[in-house]
Amino acid sequence: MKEFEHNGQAIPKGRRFCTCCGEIKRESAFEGDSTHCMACCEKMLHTRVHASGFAVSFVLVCAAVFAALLIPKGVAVNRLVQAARLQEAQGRLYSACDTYAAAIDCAQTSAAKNSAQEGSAQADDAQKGDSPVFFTPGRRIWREFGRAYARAYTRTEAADFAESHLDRNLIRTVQPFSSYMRARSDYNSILSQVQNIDAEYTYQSASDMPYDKIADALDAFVAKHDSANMRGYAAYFKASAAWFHDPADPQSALALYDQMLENVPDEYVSAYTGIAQIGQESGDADVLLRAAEGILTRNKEHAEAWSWKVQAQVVSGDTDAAAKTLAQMRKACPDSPLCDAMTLFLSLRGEDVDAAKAARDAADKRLIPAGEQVFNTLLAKRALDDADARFLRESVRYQLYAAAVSLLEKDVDAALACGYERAFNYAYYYASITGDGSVMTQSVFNMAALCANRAADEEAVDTIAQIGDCDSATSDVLQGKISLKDAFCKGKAVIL
Amino acid sequence: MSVIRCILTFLTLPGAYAHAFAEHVLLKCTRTPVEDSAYLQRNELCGHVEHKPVRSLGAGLALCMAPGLLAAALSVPMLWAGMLFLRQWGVTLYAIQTGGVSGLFVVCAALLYLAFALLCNLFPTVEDALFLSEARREKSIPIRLLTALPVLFVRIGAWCARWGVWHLLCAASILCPVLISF
Repeated sequence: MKEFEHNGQAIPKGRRFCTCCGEIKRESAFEGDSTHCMACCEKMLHTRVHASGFAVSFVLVCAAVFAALLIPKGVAVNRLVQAARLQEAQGRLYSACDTYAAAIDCAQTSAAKNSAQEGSAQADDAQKGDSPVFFTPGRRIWREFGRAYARAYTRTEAADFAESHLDRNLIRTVQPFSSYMRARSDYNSILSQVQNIDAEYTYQSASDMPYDKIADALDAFVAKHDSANMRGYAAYFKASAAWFHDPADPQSALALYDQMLENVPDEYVSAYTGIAQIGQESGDADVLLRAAEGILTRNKEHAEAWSWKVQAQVVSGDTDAAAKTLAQMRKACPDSPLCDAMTLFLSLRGEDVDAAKAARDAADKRLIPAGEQVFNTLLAKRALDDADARFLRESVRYQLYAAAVSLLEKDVDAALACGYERAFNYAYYYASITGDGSVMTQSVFNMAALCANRAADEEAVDTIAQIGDCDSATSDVLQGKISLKDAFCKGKAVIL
Repeated sequence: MSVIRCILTFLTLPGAYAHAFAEHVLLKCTRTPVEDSAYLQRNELCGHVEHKPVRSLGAGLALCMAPGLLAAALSVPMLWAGMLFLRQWGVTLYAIQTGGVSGLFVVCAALLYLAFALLCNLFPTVEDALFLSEARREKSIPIRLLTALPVLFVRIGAWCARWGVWHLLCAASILCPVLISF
């Protein structure tokens, strides 16, 4: 190796001559007594910093920056999930479901939003995942959403919801969806048994219904496939049949509903809805109150349960408590049309038709346009999201009470608009499009028939008669045996 | 022992390489002569750079702590993002919505691995930690008091890293929360 020799020139103090590169450098550039500077040593020993180190460091820094960019979205979704958990803990199950849905929307970036704006089939693809979406909410969020959904509605509805939003094969292996699917399958097995037995018989009236045969067949089926689900759902169908078969004996139906609650406590909404129906139709305030409390302890936003409570308190003569309950109801579910329906109900029962009219006029400004909008959405899209579906169902109830107010005012055109054109049509189209017939209640037929008859609208009367009949109490009102005021204000006929 | 060390280093290759690189750069900055700049060797120095003893306590502290601090700083967002999506969101390999492989899971698993690799290579060699202790002993009492905790931390960490205890701790603290959430 070439070595330089110093040319004899004076070297300044604190500096040294490198024999390798021939330069005069600071002492600190040399190690110990070495005659080679450290740079030359590095060259000789090949101890320079590797370029690959820069590449690796660059990759790691990029990964860290990328991770940092992911965090805000994760945190935003997490906040929504935490808010939903809090709402669930507070018993605000509908809000919790809406917040979980918002968290999932937030997680799915712009893909779902864009497709939703386009209103095309891409929306379904993005939701169901036919197109790859990078930010897919994980199982934990979906599980929590599923649990909240099943608590707010029913397990069978949660199974339907999961199947329409998630991968069908995967959810069969993931809890709680697998148990919801099993529950739905058990429910359908029992339902098909009931339908098979029912198809074998033709009967003219409810009392002719072969209740004993249905009950025996269900018991035999449950004995073969014994499980809590089977026992619970069998009790549910037996309870419905028992009440339909013999309304004079509510206790046997109530005992069956208790049996259902014992076996499938998660299906409390179905059980208490059945119990409330018994309470309403039999006029038993205690039963109605029990149903209301049963639901409200779990879901404070169940407007229908609040309305049962108000009705039960009015029926038992405690109107002050009913007014307090209505105030609580307004606080718990302020946007529900049932709040306005119950306001009308309380005013009618207080025989204050003017107050009822004023309340109806105020509520109509909000509820008629909103109801029309949701109804048009239903007709256009052939489907509604959960909040809109709830709103439409509750709007039907509100329109029935609004129709009652109009009938008492002797404004038959307004009554026809409320009781037939809105309430009946909303319920009919909702039931036929979504397949949920629970909204087509006897009250809807009663009020639609009453309004159509009073307005002398033959076409409406025929249409209603083709689909269903009003009950005997309504017939009494139509025949003039009971006055409208006695029916709506004094509760002498249970029409609503 | 060196076999274990080598295996652990190769398992956490990105972190080990980045640590060795940072050490190398710091050795250059502190003008400490490097004897062998190979980052990956089949001996105790795998993931480190062979060098002469550092000249001062400051340089020793920088050499022993700065690469670790940098690695920790880089690993924090990766760890946060990985934990957020895998633990809090519960993202799994197969997306529950599509049934297909989730890109988010792959990315988060990679981020967690990188964070794990970086965290496993926070500490210097035991020799460097001993040199640091030696350099500290020659200093005045206030400086010794001031540097007592960092030096102790480095020595314990270096010992744990040498025997793989630190790697196990890192693996457990990352994997357990993620696995529990599934």
